[in-house]
Amino acid sequence: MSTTDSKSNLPVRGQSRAVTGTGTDTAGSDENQYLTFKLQSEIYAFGILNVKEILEFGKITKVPMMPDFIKGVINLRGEVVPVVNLARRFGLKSSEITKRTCIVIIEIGSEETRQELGVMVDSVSEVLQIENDQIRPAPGFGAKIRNDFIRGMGKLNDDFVIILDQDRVLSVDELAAVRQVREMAPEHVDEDHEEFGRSGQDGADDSGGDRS
Amino acid sequence: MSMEAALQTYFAEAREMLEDMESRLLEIEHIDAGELPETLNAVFRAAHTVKGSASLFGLDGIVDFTHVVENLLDRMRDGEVAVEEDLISLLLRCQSHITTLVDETETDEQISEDSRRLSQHLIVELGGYLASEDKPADKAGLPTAGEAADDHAEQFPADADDETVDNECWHISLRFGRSSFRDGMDPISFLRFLDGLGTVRQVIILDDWLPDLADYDPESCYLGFEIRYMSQASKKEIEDVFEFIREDSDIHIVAPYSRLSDYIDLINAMGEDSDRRIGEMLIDCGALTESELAKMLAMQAAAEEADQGRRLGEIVSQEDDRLGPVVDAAAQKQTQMREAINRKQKSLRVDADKLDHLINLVGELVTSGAGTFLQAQILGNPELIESMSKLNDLLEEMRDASLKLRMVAIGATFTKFQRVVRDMAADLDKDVDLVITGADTELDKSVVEKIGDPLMHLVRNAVDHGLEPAAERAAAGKPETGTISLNAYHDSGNIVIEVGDDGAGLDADRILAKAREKGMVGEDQQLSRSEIFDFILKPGFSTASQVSNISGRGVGMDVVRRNVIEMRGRTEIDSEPGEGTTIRIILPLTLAIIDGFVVGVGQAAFVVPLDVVQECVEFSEADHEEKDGQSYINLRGNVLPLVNIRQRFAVRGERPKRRSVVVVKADGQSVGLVVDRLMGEFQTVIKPLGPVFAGLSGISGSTIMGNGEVALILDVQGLVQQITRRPQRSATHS
Amino acid sequence: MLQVESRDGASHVALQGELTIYQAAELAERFLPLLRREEGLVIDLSDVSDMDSSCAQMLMLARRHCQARGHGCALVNHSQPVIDVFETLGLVSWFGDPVVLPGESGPKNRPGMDAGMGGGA
Repeated sequence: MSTTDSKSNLPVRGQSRAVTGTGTDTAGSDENQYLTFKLQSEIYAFGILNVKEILEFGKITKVPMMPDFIKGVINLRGEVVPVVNLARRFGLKSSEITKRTCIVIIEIGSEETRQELGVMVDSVSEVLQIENDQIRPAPGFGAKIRNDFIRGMGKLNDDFVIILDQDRVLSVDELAAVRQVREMAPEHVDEDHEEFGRSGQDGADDSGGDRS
Repeated sequence: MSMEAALQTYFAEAREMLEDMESRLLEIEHIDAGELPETLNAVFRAAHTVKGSASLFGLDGIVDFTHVVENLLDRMRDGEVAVEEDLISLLLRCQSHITTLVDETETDEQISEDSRRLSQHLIVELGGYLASEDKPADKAGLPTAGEAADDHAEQFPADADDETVDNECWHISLRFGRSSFRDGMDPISFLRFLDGLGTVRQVIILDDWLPDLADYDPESCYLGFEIRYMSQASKKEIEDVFEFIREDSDIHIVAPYSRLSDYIDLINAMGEDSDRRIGEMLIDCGALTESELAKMLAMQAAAEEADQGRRLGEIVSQEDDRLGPVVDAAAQKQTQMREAINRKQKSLRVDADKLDHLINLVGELVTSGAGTFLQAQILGNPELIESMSKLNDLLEEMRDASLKLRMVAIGATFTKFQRVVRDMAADLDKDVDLVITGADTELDKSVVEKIGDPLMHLVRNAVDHGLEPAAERAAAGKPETGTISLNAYHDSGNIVIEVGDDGAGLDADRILAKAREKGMVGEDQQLSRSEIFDFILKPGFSTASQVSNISGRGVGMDVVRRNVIEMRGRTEIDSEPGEGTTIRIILPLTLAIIDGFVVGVGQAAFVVPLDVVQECVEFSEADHEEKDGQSYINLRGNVLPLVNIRQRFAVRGERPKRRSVVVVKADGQSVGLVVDRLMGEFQTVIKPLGPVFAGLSGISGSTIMGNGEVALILDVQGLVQQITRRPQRSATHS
Repeated sequence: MLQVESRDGASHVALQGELTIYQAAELAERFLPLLRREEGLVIDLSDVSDMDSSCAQMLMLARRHCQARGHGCALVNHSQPVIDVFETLGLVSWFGDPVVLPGESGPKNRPGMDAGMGGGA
């Protein structure tokens, strides 16, 4: 991927913009760069390597019978890409859609299972360089979101950025597995946490034994 | 064509030939004696072609070995070596070995030491059959490595082998006598009669004797024909067809796989009084390939030396460089071979990726055409709309045509299972027949590629677990030989592939008990038989040790289900105790594009595949009834169950006053879909929804509309199935 | 048996009815002189109810004659009996005129789904 440092230009306005700045700041490698964004007054980050582009929030086609953290699907240059309502995925209340609402397109999976997913966030902040020694492990408790979603806590001056483990947050197995439970009981929303926990284990088992 | 490309083509074709050879060999044990010669001919032809082409490329390893096999096959065809089971097994091993030789040659450009040893070993075994003959050994094969190479390094020497011609057809040359019409002998009658006795593959009509206007007599016959003819009939039977015109007409019949000298005789015997170039004609009508003709020239030259026969050079075009000098560089022979093959197959090999790329582009084109048409309608310019609509018609045709490029018959996929079943039956000590029907059914190449694995699971399971041991079958009063059937057919925009066995059937009670034990179904939940059978395909249901005694299926069956769902298909299982089990895989015909009918519900647009749409009617509350939570309307006296799309997919928004019912039909069942709006036809590229939506029921995929928005495609089969299953289901769905 | 019309610098011939060896002599008498007109020939075969090799042969002669003199000779609107005969004799490719081959189904029968949604019952 050709992403390089790009502290300016964000948040994005306009149709769409790939995160491929032409910045001259070559201080760090891509691995240590993070796209930070806001979700209900908390700052989170995804590793920049997997961020494909950032879209303005637009028309989303709802897919029926899906849990509400699957917002729907969008047309990304001819490909149909699912969009995750990150707030709902975290078990938080849905955010209000504003002018600053964005969809971050993230690539997950490896070689054969590569897939693009859109993630709805309240606003995109900037691309940051966070060195590994500035990242602490996830706290054992006290976080607003599931612990295994957190890859680490990045220190940012006096503040912390929650660096997300995208493979966990956007685990296709989980996103898909939850649906089956949901189909049986379509009208309940509050079970999300427990279901995640359970299907999370299933998901881990699956990925271990299913490569045939 | 470059050497490399020609070689690639050779490898691909050799594999095809070898597959054909395998399936024919497997047939031999099942066919009537009458069909044996034709089948042996086919096997021989396959080996002969693989060898012949290999020699053009100097692939000695393949040539040397295959030559011996070919010799043995030649003997079998002549009835000098009897067909028996061990021999067929040996030939199957030889076939596998030739395939290995081809593979090794392609990947490593040489043959491994192991394979060389196996070649030697097999040659010795083949020799056992060849040795019983009384011809001199040098003619029959069994060469040492050195001799074999010499045998084929030759470049058509004057005393070349009088090779048989690679032609499975009869060749008939007819020159009707002048008085034929007046005698009431119309060539049409003869040709039609021939077509009854076999199949006329090709007719070339000759106008060489047709005079100028001045000399023309309307009641005289000036016609001649060269005919390529497929038939099991004997030469005598074919000759008898022409009994009444034998006196006045010239008739020559050359049997399939005749020797080149027979064709020379034909040319000599016809004694053409015109300058028609018979050699070219024979190529034209497919009787000879050019390389065969070239070889014939060489033989003719030899004959001339011996002062016999006519000079063939007089007959065959002398200007034609390709046919002139016999001995030429390897490159030239390649071209000849390529041309001959192209002519014979009338087909062109295209890289699958290129084809896929084309189809993708066509898909984008169709989408973008629809978008442009929409723009044109918004602009309201009639001329533009008119020309856009023409363009769209063309796009539609182009779409259809390009999709057809990818359609292939499923036969080759099915045939592979002959070997699987044969081998498994031998291992398990069962007698099993494989019955294949619907081999001509065509389906998208991408589907064919993906269906192999699931079918393999199903067939193996059917042989292993589906069919009972012979003793058990006998005790149950069934024939000891079990039958596995593979069948394919088209059904309303789908392709259906069935794997059946006539075994003991599935034991619904035991499966249900197992499912309850595993907590996959509640204790008091009532399930239909087909719902119970579905468990055998569910992940986590079957583990070998636990269920191998359910007269059913072992591990791996969930793989089948997963693969099928990935292809937007579904499975159905029928089973009767004592009579057997049929597992049906139902797949969309193509994975790429469908004709859609767009309907609106609330703010959402859904696409219904057009081929399942029967009609559209207005929804009328008056005709509407509800019973057991299921709505119906009366459609011209018939009860039509309804699926309310708004309800089914929990679409929000206010219900409009007027609504419509789209009547769809799947699996023989009509169902009405209640929608808010009808929005018209739309050609649409299917975009899979991806793994996140893998288990979503009622939706089979998505598509991008002309305005760039995504619309969901309804899974009509799935929706219909929910209705048809509903009565047995405890009310878990609302 | 045949109707002739001359227009646009070509003879338009419509052959009709049975054309077999029993009609061959008469047909030759009326048809062959057209070949001497030194103009193009369009032969309409739509009303031919039967044809045998003798008359097919006459069409071959016509085609060859015209071609040798640089005139066109087109066979059009082959009737089904003519197509059958041509196919049997290998004449479809000899002539190379476009022929509508049977077997293709007509336009796809689509359900009526225009805006007007007719009353249900």
